[in-house]
Formats: sequence, C-alpha cells, structure tokens
Amino acid sequence: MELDNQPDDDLKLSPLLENLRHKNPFQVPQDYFKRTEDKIMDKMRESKKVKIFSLHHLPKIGIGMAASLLLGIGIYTFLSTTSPQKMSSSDLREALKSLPKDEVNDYIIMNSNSLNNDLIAQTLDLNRQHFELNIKGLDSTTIDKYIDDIDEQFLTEQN
Amino acid sequence: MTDKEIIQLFQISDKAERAFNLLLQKYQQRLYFMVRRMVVIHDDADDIMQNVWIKIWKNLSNFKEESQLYTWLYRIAANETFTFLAQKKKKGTISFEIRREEDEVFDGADRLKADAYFDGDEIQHKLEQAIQSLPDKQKMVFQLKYYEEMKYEDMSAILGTSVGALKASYFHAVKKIEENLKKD
Repeated sequence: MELDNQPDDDLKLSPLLENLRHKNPFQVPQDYFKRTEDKIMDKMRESKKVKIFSLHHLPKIGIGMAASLLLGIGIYTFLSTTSPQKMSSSDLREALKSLPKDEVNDYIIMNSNSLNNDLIAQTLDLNRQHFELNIKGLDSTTIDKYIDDIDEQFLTEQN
Repeated sequence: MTDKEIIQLFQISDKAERAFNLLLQKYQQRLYFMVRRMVVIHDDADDIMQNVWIKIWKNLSNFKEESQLYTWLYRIAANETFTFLAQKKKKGTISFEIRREEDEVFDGADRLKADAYFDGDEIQHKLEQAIQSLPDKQKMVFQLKYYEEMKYEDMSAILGTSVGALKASYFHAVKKIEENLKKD
C-alpha cells in the first residue's frame, strides 16, 4: 500500500477524538468480502463477454460507436484548441455543459494527470474557486454557511 | 505486489483478470469502509462498491501511470459516493439523514441502532451522529484524514481541492464534532 501513515499533527487536534479513532463500529456480514470479490469477478467476466458479443454486431451499434468516437474527438479537439487565455472560464463551462456529463466524467477519470484535465476539473469544480478564498479570520457561523454552500454546489454539479 | 506491478500485469492480455483480482483484494476493504462511513448503511455501500469496481475494470486500461493508482481508485469511489448521496437527497430517501435544525430529531441515530451491522457503544453513536451532520464533502475530508491518515496532497488529487482548503475544512470539522460530542 502506498499510503503514507506517518503520524500527523492534525490528528492530535482533539484528544477526545484521538481516543476514538481506532475503533471501527461498522461491521459486515460474514464472508462478505470474499463473496463480493467472487460476485465482482463474475460481473467483470460478464462485461468481457458483452464486449466480445458487441464486436460481432458491429453494424447494429455502429451509430453509437461513431457517436462516442466523435465525442472523443470533440473533447480532444476542443481541449487542443482551447487554452485559458483564449476562452474565459464561464465560456468554457458553458461549452462543457453541452457534452454528456458521464462522458466528461469518464474523460476526467481516464486522464486524471494531464494539463487539459486540470483545465476541465477547474472549470467543472466551482469549489476550487471558492476554496482559494482565505477563510481564516471568519467566525464559525460564517464558515459553516460557507462550507454548506460549497457542498451543496458540489453535489449539484456532481448530479 | 506493488500497484505498479499490478498495472504491468494488467497490460498483459491473458493476465488482466488476475491483475484485476489482485487489485480487488488489495483495495476492496479500504474502499468499502471509506464509502460505508459516508453512506452508513451496508446495503448502500455494497451497491456503490459494485458500480465502482465495474468502472475500475472498464477504465483501468486507460489509466495513466504518471498518477498514483490508489488516488485514482479513491477518486472513482468518492465520485460514485457523492453521486449516490446527491441522488438520494433529491429523492428524499437518504438512508441516513441528520437534520441540522436544533429542534429536529436525529433520526440517523435510530437508523444506526437498527442497523445490524453497526456495533458501537454510546460514544461511537454520538461520534457517528456528529460526523454525519457534516456537509458531504467536509465529511469525506474528515473521514480520509481521521480514519485513513491520508496526506492532504493525496486528498487534493482525489477531491480536486487545494491543500489549504482541505486543512481548513478538516480543522473546522474537528471543532464541530467536538462541540457535538460535548453536548448533553
């Protein structure tokens, strides 16, 4: 596991919470993880069969494949020819709204480290703009409202 | 086996299934509990995780090795969880809901007590109530730091939020939870 488990000062912020941290009250049914592993592997094999089947029925799904390909080319072309200097973030956001969200999400997931992906993520994720604000010095109620607003906005965008 | 070795194995066509199985074994529990702590109810977490693993399977061949595999996996699970919570809220049937107005009853506590797969004492019930009262994204930040001791840099890669904002969010979550625990 590549996780860094070095002691973290932030975990010592609250002695009360620190004492509760290592208890896990969430249980699972007996043999749950083994059974789930088998179930997921079965589903994965099923999805492989579907893929093979699809290849034999190419003419029937040709339109869908072509649409996906065009969408991919569209995103690629869009990102290749667009830079933050050439297009404002609001224009970019509007343009991205025209693309199916699932496809955009998949694109982001699959290209999580590219510069262009950062551009998409910045554009889609309004949180980033809000979080750049300095919230130190604000009173507790204001910060609460601020975080709630951001969260609501984030969830709206996710949906 | 390291993540890098698993990815290399996955790229060999007749070894892809084996590699996926190794990945599943390595991360299944960690991702499940991250999701479970967000949605509380076991059946909901189970549904989400099955979708997550199918998405991982479908997209793994396109994974860019320059990023960390585990943050990529967490990102998929986090997105799926947020989507689930948003959909549930829209439908008004969220499995575990704590209303924040002072006079309202914490029905989440009853759900926890009714959940056969929650085995916590009174203080753990109160802690979970307090955690669930946080906004969803702040709840995720809290869980990743508090239970998983995740670095803010990795969290930033998963949630697309700056490190400074994550630190502020975690700090504030701790204060809110502490206040809740000290009530009564």
